[in-house]
Amino acid sequence: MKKILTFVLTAVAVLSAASCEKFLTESPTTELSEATVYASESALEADVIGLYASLKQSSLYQGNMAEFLQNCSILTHWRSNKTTEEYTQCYTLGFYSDYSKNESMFRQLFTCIYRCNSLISALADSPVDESFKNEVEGEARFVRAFVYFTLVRMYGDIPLTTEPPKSIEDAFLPRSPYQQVYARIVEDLVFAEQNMRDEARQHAVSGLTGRPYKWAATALKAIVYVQLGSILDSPEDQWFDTSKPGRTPDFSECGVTSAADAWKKALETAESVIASSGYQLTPDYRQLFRWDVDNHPEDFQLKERIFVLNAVDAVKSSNYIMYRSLPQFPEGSSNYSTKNSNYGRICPNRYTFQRWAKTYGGKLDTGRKDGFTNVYVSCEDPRFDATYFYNSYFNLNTQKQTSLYPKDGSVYKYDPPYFKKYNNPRYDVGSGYADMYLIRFAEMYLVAAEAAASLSTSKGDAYWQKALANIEVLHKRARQSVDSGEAAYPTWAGRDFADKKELISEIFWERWYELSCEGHEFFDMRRRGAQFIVDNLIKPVNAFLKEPEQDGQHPDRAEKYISTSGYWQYSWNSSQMSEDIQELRKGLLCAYPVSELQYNSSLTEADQNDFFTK
Amino acid sequence: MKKIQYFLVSLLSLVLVSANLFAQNTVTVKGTVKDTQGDPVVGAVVMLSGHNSVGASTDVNGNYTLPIPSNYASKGELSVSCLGYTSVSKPIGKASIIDFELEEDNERLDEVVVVGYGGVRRSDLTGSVTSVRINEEDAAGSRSLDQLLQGHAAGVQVRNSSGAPDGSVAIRIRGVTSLNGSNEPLYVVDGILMTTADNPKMLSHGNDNSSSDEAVNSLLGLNPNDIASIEILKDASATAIYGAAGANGVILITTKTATRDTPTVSFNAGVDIARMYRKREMLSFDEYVEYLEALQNADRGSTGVRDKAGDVLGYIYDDPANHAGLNYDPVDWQDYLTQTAIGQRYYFSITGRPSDLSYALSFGYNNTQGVVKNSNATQYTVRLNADKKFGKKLTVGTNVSFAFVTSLSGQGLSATGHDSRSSLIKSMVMTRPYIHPEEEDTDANDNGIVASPDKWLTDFENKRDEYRITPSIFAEYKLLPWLTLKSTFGGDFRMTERTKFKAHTINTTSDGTSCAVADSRLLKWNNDNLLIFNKSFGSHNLSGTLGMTITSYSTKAGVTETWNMPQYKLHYENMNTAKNASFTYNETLSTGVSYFVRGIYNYRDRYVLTGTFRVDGSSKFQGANKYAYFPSFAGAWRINQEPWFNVPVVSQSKLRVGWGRVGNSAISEYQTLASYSSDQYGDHTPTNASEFVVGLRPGSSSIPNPSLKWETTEQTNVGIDLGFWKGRVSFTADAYYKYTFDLLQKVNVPISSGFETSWANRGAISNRGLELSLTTVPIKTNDFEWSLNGNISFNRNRIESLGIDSEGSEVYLAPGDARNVIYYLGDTIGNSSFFKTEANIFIEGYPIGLFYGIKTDGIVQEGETGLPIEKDGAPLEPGSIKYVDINGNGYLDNGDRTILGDPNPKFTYGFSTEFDYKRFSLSLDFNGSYGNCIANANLSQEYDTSRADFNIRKVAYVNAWTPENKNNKFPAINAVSSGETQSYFTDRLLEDGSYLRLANIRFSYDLPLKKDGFVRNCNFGVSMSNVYFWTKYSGWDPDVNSFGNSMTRVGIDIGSYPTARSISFDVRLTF
Repeated sequence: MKKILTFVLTAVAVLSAASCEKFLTESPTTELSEATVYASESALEADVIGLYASLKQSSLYQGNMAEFLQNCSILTHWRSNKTTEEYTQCYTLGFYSDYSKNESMFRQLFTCIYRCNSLISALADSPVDESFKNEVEGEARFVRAFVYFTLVRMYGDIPLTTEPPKSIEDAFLPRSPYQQVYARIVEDLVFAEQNMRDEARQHAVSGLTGRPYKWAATALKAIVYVQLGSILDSPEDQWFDTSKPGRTPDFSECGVTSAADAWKKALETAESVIASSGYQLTPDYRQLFRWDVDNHPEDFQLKERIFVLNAVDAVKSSNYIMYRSLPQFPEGSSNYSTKNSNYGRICPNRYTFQRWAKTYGGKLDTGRKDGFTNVYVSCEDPRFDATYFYNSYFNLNTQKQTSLYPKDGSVYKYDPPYFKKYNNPRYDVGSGYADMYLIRFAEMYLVAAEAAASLSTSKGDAYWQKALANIEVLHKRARQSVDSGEAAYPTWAGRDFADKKELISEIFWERWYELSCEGHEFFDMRRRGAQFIVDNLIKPVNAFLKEPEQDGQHPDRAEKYISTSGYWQYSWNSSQMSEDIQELRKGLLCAYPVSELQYNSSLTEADQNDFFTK
Repeated sequence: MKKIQYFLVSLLSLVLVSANLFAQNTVTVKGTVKDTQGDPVVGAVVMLSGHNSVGASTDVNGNYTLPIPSNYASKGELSVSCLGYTSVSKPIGKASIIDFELEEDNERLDEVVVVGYGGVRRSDLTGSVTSVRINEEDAAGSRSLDQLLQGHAAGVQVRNSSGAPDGSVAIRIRGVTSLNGSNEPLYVVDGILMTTADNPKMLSHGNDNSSSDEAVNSLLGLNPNDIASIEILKDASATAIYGAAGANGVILITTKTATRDTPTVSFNAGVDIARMYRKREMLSFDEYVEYLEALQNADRGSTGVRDKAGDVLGYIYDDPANHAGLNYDPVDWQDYLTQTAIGQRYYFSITGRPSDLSYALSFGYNNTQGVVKNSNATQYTVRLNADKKFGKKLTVGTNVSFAFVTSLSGQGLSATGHDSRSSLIKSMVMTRPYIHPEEEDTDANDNGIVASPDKWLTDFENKRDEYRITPSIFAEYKLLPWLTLKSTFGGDFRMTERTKFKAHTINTTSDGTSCAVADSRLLKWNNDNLLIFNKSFGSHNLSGTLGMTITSYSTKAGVTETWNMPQYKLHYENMNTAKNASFTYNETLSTGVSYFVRGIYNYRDRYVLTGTFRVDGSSKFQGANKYAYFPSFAGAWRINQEPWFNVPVVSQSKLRVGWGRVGNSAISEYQTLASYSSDQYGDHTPTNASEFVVGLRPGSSSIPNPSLKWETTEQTNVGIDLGFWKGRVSFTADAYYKYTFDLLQKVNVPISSGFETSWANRGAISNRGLELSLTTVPIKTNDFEWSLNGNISFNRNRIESLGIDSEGSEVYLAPGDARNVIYYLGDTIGNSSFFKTEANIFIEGYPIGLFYGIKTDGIVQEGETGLPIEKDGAPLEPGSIKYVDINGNGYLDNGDRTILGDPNPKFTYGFSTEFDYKRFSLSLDFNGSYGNCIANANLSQEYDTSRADFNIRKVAYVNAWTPENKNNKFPAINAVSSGETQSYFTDRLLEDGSYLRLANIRFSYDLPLKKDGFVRNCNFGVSMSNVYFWTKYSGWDPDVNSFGNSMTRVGIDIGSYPTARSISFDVRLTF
């Protein structure tokens, strides 16, 4: 009997021990494993596409960043029936530390950084050919530079890492000084310029238009230099407190020695992109925003696309900026089967709308039924009509013309103008799409113009002329964007700018007219510091709201009929903004998210941004 | 086992009796000894009282023949005794035939109790094991196992997530041991480890969060009539044999086998008639119109109410000008959508034990309608238990069950949304009390509230079908008289299909009409190989089990979802024409290998020592962490067996002490590995301008942690079992301390890492408690018996550590008492414009899940000003809610939150009593909970007297504050802003959750029948369940926990399904 017992026990023990290790090893069957995702050229190519796809997360460029960041700029108006807290943040500039969308933007931007780092670090062990790996690394570092550039402009000092976290302990990073972040951005871009594919090779490999190649890194570098030049021009009213150690702007690690050096580099770099011959301005401005691929397939191949976030058809909610910028059931769209309550959250601000019309041949008319005549109701810049739904639009659902600002029937509730740039006639709930330009070629002329203007030392000098010439390139294209002949506006011919300051200010507005609703608002209006905001936006807007035709004669109404959805909110009584520079400096950044301060043990409450109180 | 006992006892008694036979003048008394079921009792000893030399034992038919000295016959008494039964005496008188009926012994000390991988004599138990006695009548009237447990076992808390026919239950044994892993006990049916996974998960679409909230009762596939016994293993010395699965306790279920040789056929049938226990008192149509007028008059310039039109219709929510000539018909939606639910139950079984074969075959059918229309559940169960002896050493057997459960949930899946789009229940409570022809014809409007509740009946369907097969086979071979080898192979195979349809008439979001089909296949199998030994050496006895087990658990789940379907009336039939679709498919596999040993040493039945050791290996962990070791030790001292112990009234007294370690590995698979997933990206190439390319990316928001390991629970238990007057009174007390460490927690990591969380072993929680249970039979005569049983459990849990390396941050534990503590907050409750905030806080050093929110202090009275809602905002006017500015910053914000209450009960209890008079029987069953609070999230909307677009509670309108009616509880009409109800959880929503429930009254009657007739037993019963609640709680039912399976939303009632009160008629027949 003992024998049997011994036998049984031994058999059981041997049988189980032998197969045990293998039996207890996990090998997922419906998930991709690390072994396959970096193993081939096509896998690496898909990894790079994954980086671009990650920029499309709901909180990023087309999503919350479009809706909230863009609206946090005075240039646009946030229209929604959500809480007044959100409205207040957009209106008073700056996101609170505990605001969930601030946190989600921060989080998803860093998710992108992690994905870039993860890909770059995995390349070392990938069996793929070195030259292909270098191309991939170049493109990943371009994306990383782009995201870090967004982050440093939103949050100032940020954690800087080039390695993916391997364990929990790796996750606790302190904030690195912004100078180091810029140095990393420039370093990545230099690497990207040297290693990314050229146009022909990129086209051969992917065929995607709007996918960045070599010159995109150069273009982004020009934009970075503009940022550095702007900071160096106005260090005393920026987001950082120069009385604190290490905050004084010093970009020597980026190879930039002074403001003039930054502007020179910006100008040279932008001019080299312009001269590169890879890119061209689209002949007609309107073509940039024609998304009807069935009728205009050629528009997607136009060479103005330096870096485009390609939207995807037939994917639920893939493109927030589209339906959040359009009015409800807009003409030309087939969007009438569903009720979309998220429409039109991004609208032009009333002042900026009027300013553009006034600048370029706009007509005054009876805007409102209560008889005020001093309202601009049109503009001769063809870009204006390509950019806005205004006065009225045809609502496909009601089959009626729906009134909009500035022509509106209601005294107490305006419907604002809406942006038109993302209107796709094929759009119907989940299908139809519109891309988003992250960098387009026209911006290079604006960069060159601004850099040249900044370098100008006397009115009318060579740099001054260069600035005007670059703006004229865009104006010419704009004037030609009509069905026949040439429009009278826009033009600077015959215009005189009192000084360099005014010229720079007007170039700022040109950026807005050319690039509005393309995600530049938040950064452009902050870049040159608090005084610039006061001079160019707050003072004019405050004054504008007091004009009688802008309800300045009804200061009491805002109290009783406060409505975040309509334009009434902009009554002068409730909407006069602070002109205090120190107050504004804290709004130059989004507050550092509270959860990051809380969960990151290498930070304390004192690590919140300078000047920030709430 | 019982057979062996009979054999031993009869042998013993024969020896005794034959040696002492001496009398010459005798009368012969004959008779039969049967048990209460009418089955013969074999081997019972019949003796002349006081003369143990005169006796006989019963044969296989229960018959005895006893010659008695004639001088004793007329005055004497015959007594019958048998192991497992209580002794009975009867005077002899002149009778020559005396039959006896024996009742089972309450103390049942020699009964063998299943303790996992073997059995043990009850007297040898050293751990804390509660046996739940299965009352045949209760089982016949129950739909699922949990109903047999509720209130019947100390330390076992049964909480319903929902009163729906297929609503899920959460069972907690001795509190909560895990903050993120599972807290469900392990269910083992006839040795097969069961899965308790709920449902294939669907993506969240159409605003209903179905993936996280929907849970159904996974125990529905087990017919309570099939259950022979339930043992609940509570302390670590008892559960350690299950090692890594034992931390939450173990519920061992043994199903019925044949109890007698001849075939026994039984048949039960029952009908249930149920109504909603109570309605919620909302405004009637007339009151609602009055309310709208009041709202209009109180308009302080905020939004919501349209222009006043003069006549009464002018106050209907929509502008009456748009609806000229239309009639508004008053409707009570609660009446409209609920029904008198009729349920039916049938159960048929046949058992028998011809020669070496033992079989039990059963079939059950149970149909339950919900009290809310369009909800029901139907169960079909088939079970076959059979074993066959081959020779004296080998037994081969099988336990196979098949269940088909189909249910329709009318509720609308999730209750977290606060509007009528998310849930039928919300819809029937909150919709304005009228019906309107135009609304009937048109789609819901943008306000979302108008979707008429009756659309839920026609335009919504949520169906679930589950096929569950639980097969097992075993072979048992007696190697030696004291050593048995047993091998079992068993599985739990579940196929679940869910189909869901929601038309755009309800789902008014941009998803439009949507539909989903999901299926999952879960297969868990285990193979146990055991050596069971039992050997005595003089006064020493050693018994136990040595074994190994292999387990494997695989899941396969696929989901197809479509939305924006063009034709909603076609339901599923036009899925293929939907504009949008998504498909997912996922597989997982986890495996385990374990070795274990248990030894029980017994010295003279006085001292018992148990030692258990288990090694568990799991595929979920890596390297050395794959294996974990779970030891336990326990001892018992049976004081009454000591020679010096001489207290006649004490029939039993046992002291038990035990300590052990168990584990919990209840995290998902693949948490230690990096994962990748794919994304779509626009492919704007010349040829493919509207197609997409696939991008790859790392797929997890959690940093993979290769050093993960098990959660470990250490538990110490001290218990005492006392029996008095031969078991007429028995009392058990257990005190325990449970300490769980290396908690598997999803810890937050700085989001700048690109991740949000990581699984880590951090922190510790403890539970300490006391459980008392008492069973008594105060009165027992031949015709009348009164029994009274009760139990009460106290449990205190405490978060010992959250494992967060920080100094903590400031939390107001009470007004004026701000401290730096380490804590985290639970999840947000509502997902729409109400209660969009957390309700629970988890603080180191405090109980789990305390309610955390804003304190209020009545209503702002005239001459006072209330706290502004926003910074620099206007102070609240009289009639507003008076919030307490705890942080003193001058306005209401999240910094004003403080501890408001505790969702953990101070104690839970249950008691039952039964009166048996002749053939009549009356029983009452009570259970309850004391000292817990419930966050009644429904109130945030039902008390909101500022909105015109839905109905509200009557009490909030009638008692609303006015300058004339300066009450201190309900604010003035229109005084609450949406920011308040959306962003804050106030103590106004917190209610006392204590209750005492008369859960069941049953009255039954046994038809007088001949015991050996064709029909041997016939019983009629009438019972009523949920008879009455004594509670202050204002919701449907204080026994509620809407997020039963969530540890981040504790003690919440939100949109739960109404409780039913039912009356049942039963008949039970045995042939």
